[in-house]
Amino acid sequence: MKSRIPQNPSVEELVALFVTIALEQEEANIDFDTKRFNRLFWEMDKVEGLLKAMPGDKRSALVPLLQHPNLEVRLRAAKSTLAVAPEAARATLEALTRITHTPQAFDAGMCLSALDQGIFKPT
Amino acid sequence: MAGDDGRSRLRLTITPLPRIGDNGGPPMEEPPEIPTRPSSQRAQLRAVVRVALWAARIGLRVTPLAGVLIAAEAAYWIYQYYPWIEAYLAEPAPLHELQSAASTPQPGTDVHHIVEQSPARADGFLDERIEAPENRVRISRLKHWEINRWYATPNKDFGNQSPRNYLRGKDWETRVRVGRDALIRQGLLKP
Repeated sequence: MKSRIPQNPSVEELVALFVTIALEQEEANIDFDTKRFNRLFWEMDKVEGLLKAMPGDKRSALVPLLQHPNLEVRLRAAKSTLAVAPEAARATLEALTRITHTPQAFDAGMCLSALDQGIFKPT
Repeated sequence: MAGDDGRSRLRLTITPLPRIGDNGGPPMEEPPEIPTRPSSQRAQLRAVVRVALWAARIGLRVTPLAGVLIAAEAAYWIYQYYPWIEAYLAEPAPLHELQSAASTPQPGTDVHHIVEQSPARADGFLDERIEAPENRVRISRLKHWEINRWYATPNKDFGNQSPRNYLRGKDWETRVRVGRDALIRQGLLKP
């Protein structure tokens, strides 16, 4: 599949693509489509890596997404900003765990467990 | 009622749980549209998951009456999946209840192994341990699939490997800890 990441992307383009991928991940989850989810995971990882490599670590541009109306976008943004905005990101994960019976509450909760047990060390 | 486009707007009789912001807060999320005649079983499942997730997001508990209304107002086909939705929204239960329920089949539920079967077998754990009553619980089928998806997919929390890969070679107790945590975080097991 052709990459959706533009040549020399701007921060705004990468943030917009991050949102698109998160929304598609939610759809892949609803379909229990593991193959599609995996492809999207690695695409998002690449987007996050590009933001991280920019001068000043531009993952901070994802912080406003912690307020996004979509739960999956909020979840993905929280996981991707733990290193640059740890308090806000963790507060978002904790808030997601309270929206019970959603996949995002589950994923956020497991992320908090991994953080607390030292399995996940955001860098 | 079915619209001209052959889709229905779901109408449920529901019991909202009180939540912060109920008075003067943002309006409730619109219920999902469901197809009157889904083209495939996959399309049916997609609609069922959307209904369950919608109910979960807005904090609703569907009453038994809702099952009847789903059938009457939306589409008869979804009636057969009502137990799936009911099981999805069930309150967490103590471990011994989930374990004892494993021997009694219930619609919309599956037997789930707290420590995953195939990876445990691949790592040399004996069937007596894997299939022991302590390791078998009955849970919502949709949540069972969500847990399986979580185990199988890469995850930042585990250094971009899947939890299943992370647990490869780990001892039984570590697997139990992760497996029970998954049940708690899914809202299936009382902490």
